[in-house]
Amino acid sequence: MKTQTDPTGFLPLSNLSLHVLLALGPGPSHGYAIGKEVEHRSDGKLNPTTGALYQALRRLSEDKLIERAERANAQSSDGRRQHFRLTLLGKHVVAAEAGRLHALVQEAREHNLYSGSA
Amino acid sequence: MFPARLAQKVYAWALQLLPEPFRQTYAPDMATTFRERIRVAQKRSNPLAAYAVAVRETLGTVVVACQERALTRHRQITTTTSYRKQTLRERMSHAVHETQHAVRGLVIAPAFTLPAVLTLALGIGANLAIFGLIRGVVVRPLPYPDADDIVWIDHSASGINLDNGLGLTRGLYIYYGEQSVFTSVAISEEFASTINDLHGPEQIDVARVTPSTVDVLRTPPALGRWLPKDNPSSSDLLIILSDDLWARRYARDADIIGRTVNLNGTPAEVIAVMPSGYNYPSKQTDAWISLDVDPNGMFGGFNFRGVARLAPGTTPSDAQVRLNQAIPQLPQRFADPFASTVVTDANIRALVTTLKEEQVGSVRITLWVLLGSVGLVLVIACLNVTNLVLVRAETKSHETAIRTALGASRKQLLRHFFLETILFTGMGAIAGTALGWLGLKALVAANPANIPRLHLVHLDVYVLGFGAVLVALAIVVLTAVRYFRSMRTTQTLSSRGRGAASTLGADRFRQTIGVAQISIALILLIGSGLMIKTFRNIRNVDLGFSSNNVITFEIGLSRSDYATQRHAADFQGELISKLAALPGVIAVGAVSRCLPLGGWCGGDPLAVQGRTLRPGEIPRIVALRSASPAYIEAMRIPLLTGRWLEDRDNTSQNVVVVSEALANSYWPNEDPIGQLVSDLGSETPDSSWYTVVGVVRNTPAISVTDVNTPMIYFPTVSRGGRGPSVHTMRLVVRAGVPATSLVPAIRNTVASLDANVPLANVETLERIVRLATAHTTFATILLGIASTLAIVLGTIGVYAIISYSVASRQSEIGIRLALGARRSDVNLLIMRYAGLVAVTGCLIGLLGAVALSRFVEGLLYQVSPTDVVIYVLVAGAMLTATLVAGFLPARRASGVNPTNALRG
Repeated sequence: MKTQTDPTGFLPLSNLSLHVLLALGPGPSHGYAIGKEVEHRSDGKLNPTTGALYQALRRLSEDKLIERAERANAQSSDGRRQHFRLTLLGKHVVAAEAGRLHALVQEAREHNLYSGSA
Repeated sequence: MFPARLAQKVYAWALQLLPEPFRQTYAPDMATTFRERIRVAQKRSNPLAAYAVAVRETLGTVVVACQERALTRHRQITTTTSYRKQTLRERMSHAVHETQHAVRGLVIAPAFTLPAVLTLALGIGANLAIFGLIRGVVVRPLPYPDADDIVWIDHSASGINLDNGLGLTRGLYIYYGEQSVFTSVAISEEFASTINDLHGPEQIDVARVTPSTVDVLRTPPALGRWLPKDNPSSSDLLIILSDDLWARRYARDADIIGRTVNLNGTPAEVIAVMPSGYNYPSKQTDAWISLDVDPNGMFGGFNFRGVARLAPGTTPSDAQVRLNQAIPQLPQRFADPFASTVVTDANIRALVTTLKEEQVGSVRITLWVLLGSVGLVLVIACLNVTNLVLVRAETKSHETAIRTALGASRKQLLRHFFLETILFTGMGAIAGTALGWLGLKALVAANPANIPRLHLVHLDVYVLGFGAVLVALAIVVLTAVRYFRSMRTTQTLSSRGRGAASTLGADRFRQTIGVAQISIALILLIGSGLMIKTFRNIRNVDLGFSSNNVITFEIGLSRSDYATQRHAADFQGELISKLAALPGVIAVGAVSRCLPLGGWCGGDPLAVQGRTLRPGEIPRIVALRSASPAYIEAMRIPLLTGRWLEDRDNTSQNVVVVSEALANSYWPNEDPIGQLVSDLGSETPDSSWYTVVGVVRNTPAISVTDVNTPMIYFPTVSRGGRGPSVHTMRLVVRAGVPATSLVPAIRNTVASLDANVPLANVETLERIVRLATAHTTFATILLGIASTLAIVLGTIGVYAIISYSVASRQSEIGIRLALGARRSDVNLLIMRYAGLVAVTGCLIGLLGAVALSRFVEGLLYQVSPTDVVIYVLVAGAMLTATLVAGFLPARRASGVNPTNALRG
């Protein structure tokens, strides 16, 4: 099994993977909440099925970009589910991907192909 | 409303498709997420939103499952190395692969697979069906607690030439109840009665039983209470209904308890309903009333049947010995002089068997013989398959050699053969189970032989277990044959190349198989031949009456409505004349109480005037009947001499008609006409004598083969009032039109005379005869089927063996032909081979048949178990069939083109 530590090795991230990582930015979350967040962030354009969502979570876990979070409130109804959080590697990968996208945006702007704010 | 639970179930099923680690880690959370998503969708205004989400989610998960599975597989392939110990999963996939290989091997060889599967299916199916029958009828215990301790008590009386069936008296019931071998004893008698209430009159079978019955059978009522033990005889009649009567007449109305019905004109209070399957004293029993026996009363007559529960640690034979030790002391216990008569003159002996033996004893031999037969068919089937496997081992020897050369270990080869055998045997077993199930259903539905307890028959765990043992045995044997044959041929292959002579050993083995098949088939055919001859003999028995196009029924008149014999006889006379006037009716007769084959139905000793009995001699018991004037016309019983009973006999004089057997035994050298006889058994001794006015042909009382029953016919109302009661009579209507079409008209006629008189046991005389011979018919047909299967499978087997032998000797035959042998010589060569197998097989089969014949002896009638004609005929037929089976391959052999044969 590949265990990679170089963040750039994961790039470019798939759309869904990036959104899942972004959804975990604020802190640990569980599957359903991540799904809702992804849908919300993408203005409804990205609405993975539960299967696809967990497939992505499985991949990201295997690649060690996310990991299971210790449950803060194991007694509550939410506590029964698995929570995920970004690993350090995950954070680096998101940063690398953002950097890659940023560079692309810069490039587009230089060629007057994009006028949005940075 | 959205079916949320169903959606969750379907989704859970989809989750099952995910590969193992993924499922374990994520499936519970995925289910939660799915639930939440559905809940949210349900809150939306669009009612279809939840459906859309459910479908999308489920399909999405299925797609992911496929992707994940593909990925897992891919990883396995890329990471497995031969050094690592295989994981379970890998081994599984390896097994799957090997199975696929074995399946492919069988699929591309239908010439092997189809006959093997079909042959096994036939063999296994037949065995399951018959074993199922035996298990249900013979092996399964009776439906009473500790049923093995329940025994049946009967008596023989050598003084009156009675081997069994004497029954018990009230006195014996009391006496046996005092013996320590039993914890309790019960007696019963059955009689036809009329039940009447709001639902109209109906004739039912009522059993009068002692209240101790509940201690013997230990089966309480399903509803209500059992008969009280100390019922003051003055109190009301109490009646218990059978489950069947309760369902049929009262639609299982629980309020029946406490209601009053009318039984033979007497009010009776319903106090209980027995559970379904309570078949004591017989399956026909519809209701029970109390039989109260005074411990200090009379010794009484032998009118009862008895059962008892053995004391702990006692066997039926112990009990029998102890009762027979106690019988001589009867006269000390009972003052009744009859008690000493039964000991000194009748010389009664107690017979004690288990109740089950009594119920199923008669069919047990038949069923075991049948199981033996189908067992032999299975052996033939397996021999056929063995031969097929042998051939397969040889034709595939090349492949086996290559596999060995490529490094397949013996273990691997064995595993391959094992798998292959399991596959085709398994297919055979599945098909066979289906066949057996269908066969059993058909047998039960037809109930061809009045087999007791047949409703208990079905394929249960034990039957399937029996099948599984058979199949496991077959698998082991067939795998072994395949393995050892393959090893042998492979060795030959490596040492001698393509040696044709390598088949010598296999040939000998094959010959043995052929001989075994022929001998077994011959044994079955001989058994079947004996049964067919028995069947013919039974069919040819002169029953003394003609059964075609006759309908019979029973009517029972209550003594409250028809107080005397005269009243009952008048009713019957009127009914008979009305019935005779119906269009299509040829003759109408009546007889009390049983028709031929209906049972002994009461008998009494007969006294003959001018003949004094030697001291201690007991007069012979004869069967008593009352009959109407047209009875012999309706039954077509031939009158041998004198005349039959006429209407005037009811009023004028005391006359009787006797059967041929009675006339021959009492007056072998005298004219029976004009002899005077008297019935000694009736309860009011009377000195009136009856004149014999005619002799008629014998009719059997109990079974078809029981043709020499001494029988005496009284007029329905005889002046001395001595004839049997005519309140219950069997009417016989001979018709010129299809007899069953008359039933509605008959019912109307009876109802028009008295609406309270029920019709019972409406059936054709043909059916009565058919049921009486059903046992033999059943055994004959099943043995016929078994032997047909045997001869077909056996002949096919021999054909296959000789064909294969010819095929493997092609080059030898080619050389012979090329060297100038004539085709007839080649023909002879092969036929000699077939003949050797056939003759050896037949000889062994004949010996086997002689050895086994004593097992079928009990089923035969007027046929010797070593009937020479049958043995010779069947052996001749078998020999011919085998030679024909050899002739086809022989012709093929002599038609061989030597050039082709040598080239090949």
